[in-house]
Amino acid sequence: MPSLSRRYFFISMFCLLPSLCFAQKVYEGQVIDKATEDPISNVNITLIKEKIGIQTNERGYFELSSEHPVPNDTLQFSSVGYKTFKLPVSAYQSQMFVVLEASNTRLNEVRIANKKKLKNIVLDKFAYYDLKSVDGVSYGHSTEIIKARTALAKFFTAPNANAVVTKISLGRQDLLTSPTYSVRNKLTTFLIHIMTPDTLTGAPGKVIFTKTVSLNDNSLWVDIDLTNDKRIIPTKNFFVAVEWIITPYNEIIGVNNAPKVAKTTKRGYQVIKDASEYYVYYQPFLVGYSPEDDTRKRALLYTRNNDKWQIFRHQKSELALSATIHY
Amino acid sequence: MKKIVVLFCLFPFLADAQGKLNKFHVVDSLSGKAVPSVSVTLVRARLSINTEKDGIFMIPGNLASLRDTIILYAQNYKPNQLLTRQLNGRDTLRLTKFAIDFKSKPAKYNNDTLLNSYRKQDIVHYAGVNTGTAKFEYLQLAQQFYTSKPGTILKSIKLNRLAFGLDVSEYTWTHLVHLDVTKFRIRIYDIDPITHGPGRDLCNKVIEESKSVGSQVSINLKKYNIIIPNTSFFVAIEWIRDFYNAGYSVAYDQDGEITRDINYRPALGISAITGKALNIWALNFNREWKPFTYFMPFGTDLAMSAIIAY
Repeated sequence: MPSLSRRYFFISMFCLLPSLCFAQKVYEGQVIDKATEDPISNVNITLIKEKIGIQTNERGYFELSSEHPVPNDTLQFSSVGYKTFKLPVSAYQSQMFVVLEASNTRLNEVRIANKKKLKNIVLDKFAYYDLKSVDGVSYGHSTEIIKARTALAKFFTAPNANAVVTKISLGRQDLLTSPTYSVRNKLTTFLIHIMTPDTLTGAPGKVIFTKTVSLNDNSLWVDIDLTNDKRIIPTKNFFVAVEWIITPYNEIIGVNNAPKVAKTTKRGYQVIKDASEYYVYYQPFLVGYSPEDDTRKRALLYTRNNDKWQIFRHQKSELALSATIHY
Repeated sequence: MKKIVVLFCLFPFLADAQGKLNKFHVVDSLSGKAVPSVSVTLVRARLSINTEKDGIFMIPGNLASLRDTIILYAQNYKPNQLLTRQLNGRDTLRLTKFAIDFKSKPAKYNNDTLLNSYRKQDIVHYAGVNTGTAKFEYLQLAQQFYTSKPGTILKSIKLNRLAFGLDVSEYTWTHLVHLDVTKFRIRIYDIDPITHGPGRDLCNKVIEESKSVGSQVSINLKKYNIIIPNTSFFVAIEWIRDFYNAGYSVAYDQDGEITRDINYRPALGISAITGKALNIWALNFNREWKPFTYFMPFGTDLAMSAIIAY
């Protein structure tokens, strides 16, 4: 095998030579507000020397393809109300979060006080740097892919009953960190359920709300706005569940190295060769992260097998799934 | 010995039931020479393999008791369809060549046109892998192209396939690269006037892409002088279902049950551009061309482009 590997190494390096010289480069990531940690839409991103640009979408996501890369070019991020940020392309990291700071000229948001003094809080809040290292600094965190075959439900406790869920946020794993997957996150459609606990078992029970979520970019941070849905949770405890949809649209392929029998000798010995073993998975790939406070108790997770909810026991880290409520 | 092992892998349930091995040679009916890479399909068992260069294949079991239909097919030969019990007592199967006249007038072609352009970085989906929702039981996948006028020449094609560890900027080399090597054949078809699917071959030469490593494959077809007689034609990938291309696929079905099957490379990219109509056709084990609807409504075209000249 060593000789075979060496051979393919040279073949592949030879094939790559042209692409190394004239490679098209794709810059992508998400732009985040430093103070609120919310994604910022409509940020102008420009490659200054190549003179091409694009704007972030509603998830703050951008994907800028450099067809004719210019040496020592700079990515410039600018938006009304924010300080312009320049990033040399040499410092760019794949699928990075870019954090913009509000400028002094930014208009203050007008806040209308509610007579009842309702509060917004984020339950199980996570940060963008929990999903991925920023500027090469990992903050000592590690992430893992969390996925189930059918559905996964996370347990939340609100301060009171009858709170309104206004937003669900979730993190997706950056698959580029592993070359064993066929593609990045890109396209996926899945379901979000809000459920009340079963009064007998405490497991996810009645579904009180379902929303279909469709994503068409590689954004790692996903906010699902439920403001207009005005969904009241009658109980203090509730679940937010992600349900995978098993369709070709959500397919993603992974690879393993598996042995195959090339021949059997007269003495019965088997000569083994490497073979590809393709694994078919379904998106989304959620993120498990290690919170800064590692002593924090992990939220309870349930998975559904054969229409029965069972405690998800493979959990080493916290699922990046938060709920913003209004109460 | 190698081929015996391959066929044991492919017919495991038969091998378990019956220990007897039936060996067959597929030869040209005129020359008596072996026909290489013959597609051998057991229709009822939904199994298909290709022979190696020696044209030999084996079926384990008692042929007299097997109730199945076997189809033998090779490019430029008439398909040979037999009942398995008809194989009993035979060791040689003959294929007869088509009489094809591919003479075409030499002409000058100046204007190049690119058909079915796609961006390789947008490719997300791949055809050719057994999944939790369906097994990939096809011999060929064809992309339909449209030209503005008849009489064009097909100069080249480009396609993208699944290849791990390459073309990902941060990981230009991994230990998994060698798993992606594959070989396959290219077939060019005219449009069938009745089915509007792939019809007669437009090239009688065997076009084989061998030991392909990278994800992007460009094939120059100039030397074959392929003239497109109508305003539509098909370029198909023919899988060579042999030991070299054999790997595995693992998938969960709707009930969460895991299945592991033999899977033949390559897996072909699906263009991220959704067209107005479905342009992918698939040749099933019964050798019938059908529209390939697996990735509908979003996947209408293969990640395959063609350059024609007129």
